[in-house]
Amino acid sequence: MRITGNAVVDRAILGRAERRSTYTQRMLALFGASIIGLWTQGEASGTVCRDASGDGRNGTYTGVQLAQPGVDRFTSARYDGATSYANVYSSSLATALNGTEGTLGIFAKIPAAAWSDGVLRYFARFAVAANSNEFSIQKAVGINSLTFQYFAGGVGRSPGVTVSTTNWFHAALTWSKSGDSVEAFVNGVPAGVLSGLGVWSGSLNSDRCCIGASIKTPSFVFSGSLQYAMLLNRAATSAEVAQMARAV
Amino acid sequence: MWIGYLLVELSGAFAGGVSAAQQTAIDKAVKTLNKITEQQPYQLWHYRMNLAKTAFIGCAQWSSKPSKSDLVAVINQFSGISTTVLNSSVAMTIFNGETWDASGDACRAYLAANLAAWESAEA
Repeated sequence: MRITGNAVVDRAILGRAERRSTYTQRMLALFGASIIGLWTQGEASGTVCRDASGDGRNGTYTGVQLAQPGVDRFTSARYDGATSYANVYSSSLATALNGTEGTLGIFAKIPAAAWSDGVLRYFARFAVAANSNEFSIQKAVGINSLTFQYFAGGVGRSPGVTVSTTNWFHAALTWSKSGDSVEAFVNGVPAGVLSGLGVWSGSLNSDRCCIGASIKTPSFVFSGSLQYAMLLNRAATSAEVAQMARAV
Repeated sequence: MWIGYLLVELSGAFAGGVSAAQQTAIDKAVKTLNKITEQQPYQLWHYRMNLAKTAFIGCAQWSSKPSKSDLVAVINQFSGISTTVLNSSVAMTIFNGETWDASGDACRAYLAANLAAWESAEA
């Protein structure tokens, strides 16, 4: 980028650069090493679900349709509600995960038929074991409803939110044992908060770290498109979640 | 070419559910019917078993809609189980629809109607 020394010209140049920066670049600039996984799902083909965090925590796609329209000028992955998922477990991820402080965010687009199909469907799930130590974002069984699930030490704190858009939206879950808070966000706006967290223990299970399903069997498969699944090792602030929800 | 889903129900020789070795053999066998023209994950053979391991739903790109005889022939090659036994132990249903989406609609409707048999108990 050429800086001229002329304030007006330089502001214009910087403004263009800002507009050109990608979601991934903005997130890396915002969160730096706090990002422990950023699966953009923007691949054109292949089975590698690339981690853009710089830590190489790539996953593996099964049954997804890549190169689908995304929330921005990049593409997304479409999950079929039957057999598709991305397994993003790695021992490196298990080591990096902070079960007591963290953030999970993701963009989703759900067709009208799926909002009302009465089937539980997972955006993403990371679990040590069911209903003991795990967190996830789910389309709930109820029509037009989401559940943001967090369990630690067998204590569940799971805010529920009503959403009905068939456009792209952003969902985020933050958890903080030190702040005694589990908070749900939709499109960067706080949508529910609970306290009384348990104590996280254990290491992630290799079958239960999936985007688009609850487990790599697979089960409770997402129906719709997903993009930019991101995990942090700390709870993002409300202002930061608002930034996460801004795709362009 | 056709991209779509099929349901295979196993009984007789597979009563009580497929063993790990049988599952591996069936996976390798059906994979041979997959006609790959591009490396899109949904076009590559993949499948899920039901909880009892007595049925699986698979999806791939096929040269044409596979028939039961296609399926029996390849499973016979990989498992060594006779075609006579396989013919009486395998039932195959195509989730019909000319496109991946249409076949998927039929598959999703089947799964939604049979949640208890297919979805994990941990939700």
